Amino acid sequence: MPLKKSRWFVSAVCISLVALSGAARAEDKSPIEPRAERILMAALGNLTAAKSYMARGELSNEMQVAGGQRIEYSSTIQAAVRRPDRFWTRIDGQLRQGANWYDGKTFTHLETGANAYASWPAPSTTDETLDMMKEKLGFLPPLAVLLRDKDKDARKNIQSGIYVGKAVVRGITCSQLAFTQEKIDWQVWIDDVIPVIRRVVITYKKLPGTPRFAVTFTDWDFNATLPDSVFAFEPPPGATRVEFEIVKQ
Amino acid sequence: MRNDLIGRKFTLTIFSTLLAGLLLAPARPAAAWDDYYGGYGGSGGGYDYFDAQDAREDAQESAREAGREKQREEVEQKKAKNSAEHAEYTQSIIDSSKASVQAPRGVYYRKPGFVSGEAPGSGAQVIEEAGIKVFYEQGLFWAKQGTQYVVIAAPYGVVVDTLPAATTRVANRQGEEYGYFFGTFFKRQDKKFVVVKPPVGLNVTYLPDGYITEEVNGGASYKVGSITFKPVFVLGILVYQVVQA
Repeated sequence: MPLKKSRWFVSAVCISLVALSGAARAEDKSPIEPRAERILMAALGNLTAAKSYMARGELSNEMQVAGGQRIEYSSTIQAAVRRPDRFWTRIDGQLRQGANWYDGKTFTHLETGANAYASWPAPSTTDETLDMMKEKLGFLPPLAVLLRDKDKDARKNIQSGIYVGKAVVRGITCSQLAFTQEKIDWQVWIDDVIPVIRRVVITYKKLPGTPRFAVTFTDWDFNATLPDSVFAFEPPPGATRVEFEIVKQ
Repeated sequence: MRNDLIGRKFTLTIFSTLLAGLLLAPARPAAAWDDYYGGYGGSGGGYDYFDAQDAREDAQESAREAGREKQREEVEQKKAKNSAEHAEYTQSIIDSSKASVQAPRGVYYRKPGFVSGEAPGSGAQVIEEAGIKVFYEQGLFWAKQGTQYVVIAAPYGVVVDTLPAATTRVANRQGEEYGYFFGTFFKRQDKKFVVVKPPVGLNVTYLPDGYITEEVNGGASYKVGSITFKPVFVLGILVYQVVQA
């Protein structure tokens, strides 16, 4: 009798242990493949650790026009960041020509083609400014996630992530990663030697025509000296001052 | 005696033979193999032929290269000319109206007041408006003025059969949709379209040439006919919002 009881007891303990470990695994299970997550976080960590940087890239926007044909529009982008409270971006291309300045107090957006600009009193840090812009103005500067001080948003909405393999971008060997989210699928190519982002492709799968946005970074400079003048806005001659429409009071 | 006779006969025979050979021998042939090699007696030694041939080929190659160089120059000049023309054209578009730089390109548009000696095409819709015959074609309204035709502002309330291909669809916050073409707003009426005044708050992405800039309360506003627009960034995009119609 004691032997039967002990057998039952041992079996019960084993089953419980297995169940508990299964539950623990389920709780820890990340949607991102560990290798992909490690490489992504290394690149984002490298970026957020930099006190300042400059970057340049080539953008393309592919979208469906009337008639169903897909057209690709190209642009160039430049960005400068000085943590924790300065950034500047500029886009020149077929669809948009504009620039953004944030100097720790004011955010200004200039539409170069129309020579019109608007300014808005901003919070005192980049991260707060970007949060408020999204809430009040309804938009963010291009590649806003790379301007942030903290990479808190990086994994927030990811539903799955995988390591695709090795790929070459502009002659540089990279690790290609692919991620899915509710509204977008995106891929990133990260330099194997120095963990910087070399290319990003985003597909807006819920929008009509599934437009696609891609940026290939041509230069990264983590040693740039960025004086205040880089982030200070001076209205161009003849520029018209306009207002932002506040989407949420 | 016999030896002398043999000696004289022998000498005579040899002499005669030699003489005959000289007189009867053929002329020196042209292009003998000496000549083939340029002749050992020529001034260039034995290689004059090849030198001449090389020189001919060099000259021909130089002429061909000069031709290619000329072609390359023409291509570069054409590219520079096209590039300069394109830049000039683009700049003229930008200079003529900062707002209309965003207007659809390649669209036939003439602002009110434009005069043409030619009548609108035979496909133009003819509309009677307040006793005046108005011709509607591809988004433009024409009135006859003597022997000429002038573009007029779109009359409110006029009903047209079709909209031009470059019409853009715009909507207000209430979801009411309008067709917009170079300052004119259309609303669907059954299977046709009526020219209407736009509601306040409606946004468009461009203004036609010929708008008038006004300063209102320290900010710029633009007047197109009787409609006043205010430039504003909505979701980061520059639009022209109707503030008065």
